[in-house]
Amino acid sequence: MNPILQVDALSGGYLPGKPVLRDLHFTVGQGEMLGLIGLNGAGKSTTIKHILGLLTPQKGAIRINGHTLDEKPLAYRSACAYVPESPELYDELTIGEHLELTALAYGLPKDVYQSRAGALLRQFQMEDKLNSFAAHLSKGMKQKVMIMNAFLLEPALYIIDEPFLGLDPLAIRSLLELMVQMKRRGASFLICSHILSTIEKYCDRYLVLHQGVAVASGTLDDMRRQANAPGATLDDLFYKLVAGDAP
Amino acid sequence: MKMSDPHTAPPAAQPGFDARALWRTRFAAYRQEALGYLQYAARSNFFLLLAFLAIVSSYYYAKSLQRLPTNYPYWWIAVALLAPVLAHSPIRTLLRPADRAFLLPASQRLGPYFRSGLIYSGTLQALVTTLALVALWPLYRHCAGPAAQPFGLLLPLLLVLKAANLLGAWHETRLAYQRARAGSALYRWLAAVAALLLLFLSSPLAASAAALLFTLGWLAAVRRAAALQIGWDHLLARERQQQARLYAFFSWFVDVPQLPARIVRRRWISGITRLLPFRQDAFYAYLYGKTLLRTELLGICLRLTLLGALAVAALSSEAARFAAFLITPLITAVQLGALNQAHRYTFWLQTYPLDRSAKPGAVARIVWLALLAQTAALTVPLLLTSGAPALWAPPVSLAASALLCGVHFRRKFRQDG
Repeated sequence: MNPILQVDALSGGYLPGKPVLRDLHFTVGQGEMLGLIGLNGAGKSTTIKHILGLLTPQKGAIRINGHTLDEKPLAYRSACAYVPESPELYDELTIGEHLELTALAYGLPKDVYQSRAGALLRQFQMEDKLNSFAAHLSKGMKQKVMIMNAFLLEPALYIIDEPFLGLDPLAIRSLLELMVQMKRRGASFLICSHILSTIEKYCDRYLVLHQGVAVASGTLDDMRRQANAPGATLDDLFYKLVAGDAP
Repeated sequence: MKMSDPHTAPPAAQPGFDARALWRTRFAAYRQEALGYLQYAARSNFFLLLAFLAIVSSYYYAKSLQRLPTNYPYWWIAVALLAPVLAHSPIRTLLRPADRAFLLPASQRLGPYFRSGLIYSGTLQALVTTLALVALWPLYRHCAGPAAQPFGLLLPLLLVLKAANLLGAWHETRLAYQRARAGSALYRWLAAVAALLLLFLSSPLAASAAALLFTLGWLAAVRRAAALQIGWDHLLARERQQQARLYAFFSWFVDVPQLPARIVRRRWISGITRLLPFRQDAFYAYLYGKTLLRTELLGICLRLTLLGALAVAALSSEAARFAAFLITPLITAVQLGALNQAHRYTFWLQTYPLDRSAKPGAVARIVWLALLAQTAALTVPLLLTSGAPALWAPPVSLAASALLCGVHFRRKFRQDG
């Protein structure tokens, strides 16, 4: 089976000759949830930027559904939705208009858009914010808008960067429920988070990044074997793997 | 004014913290930035224009005084001029949002900082008060005649009232509730009007006595109101507002990057994007259409259209009307060229599965539609004022707009990206 996301020998960063990421390999299969974990500055966001095409690989290749961005840009971009760590909204648009704009950008039919948007607005308790502008929302509400925009599309691949910060407990619950629901339908997830106790319950596999290099990967059991720590939690494993040479 | 007393203050978090030095640094940075922008204002001959206006208006002022009967009820002009000068007492604090976190531990030691802010604001406002009295003086002397009080008595009295208002405004920022702040401000305005009425209709003595009573009444009322040690939220909001106003003024002369874009909902027109089909190829029209409709660009368009329509309606020569009709869309088009720059820093536009080469054409089409609407609006006064020959103007304008947007803007926007 072809993986949805395939990262091969990726080296890249912001300056030529000074790669932040070095020789990164990983895949995300259909219906799989991969947890990308690492300290601040480990290269998680840089990895995501490469996948989104905001940075160009210095070496290696990234494929979504078997194609690189250069080969089939529209198919590549249609296949993934992104929830950024810090919400970025258009000042000129209301919350409802953000959803509408996203639906337009990805070519969603109007009836599909309406039923999905209605359900998401209910689920995240944002119905009364439909006509509000982004400037009048709290950080958590902006984050909800980002999440709704991504789930509106029901893409093959979700890329979610630190989604839990600022969300209220009900919204966290809704988000996790949605993730499980979409995963069951075959969607794939790449999730970055520092809330290890939460993602431990949801991810199938993990990739531990440290200073731009993958230091461990696999299922929880794989990593327990690699770290020689049977029965350890993800939190313990992470500490064992990276704290040895933490800055 | 009650400010923290350094002698009774508990030991602050930072032993070496010097509030006065902080003010000096902040003020130096503020002054440097303001002077930089003022240079642009000077370069545009703004001050020459001001001086010219001052000379012209003082000429007409003197001329109209000659014709004005001495029993003219000048007092309403005096009150209308001086009441805002006295009661409106904004305080520049030069605070920054991060101060709420970083200066909070030093709250007890910030007295000298805020005192410096009060002195700066007070000095400026004293200057304005003096200028207002100087401007009023000829009218006052003309109407009050021999009963006029000496300048040397009125100015100090007004300055004392100004100082009382400023201190009142400072205490107002510490009041915990918006309702209390608004109540206090309203009280100050009414008190200023009453004191000024007494000053010009009765005597300086009556005005002083009333002002003293008003102050005592205010003190008694405000003692019971819940007050914070420093009203951080309110001070920061006011500071942001004042700085934004200053930037808005500077933006007449030069592009001010710090100025946040002002977004207006404009319910009456922004729903027009509903006419777009719900399709992928309507994306750019939707985003940039909404952007035009909700930003200052539409405000500029509307003002230019109004100005153009007035010119077309009022100009007496046919050729001048024709020129105004054609020049207005041209100026508007130059302004609307900025629409293509909107959202240039949004990474979202790079992540959508869209053909980006469609953007220049879509933005140019929006500009074209705006020019079309403007031409239609200008045609109304043209039809009302002009004869058959002027009917050439609308088709010429339409052709020029189509050429400008369809060829020039498309090419330019493609190059700009």
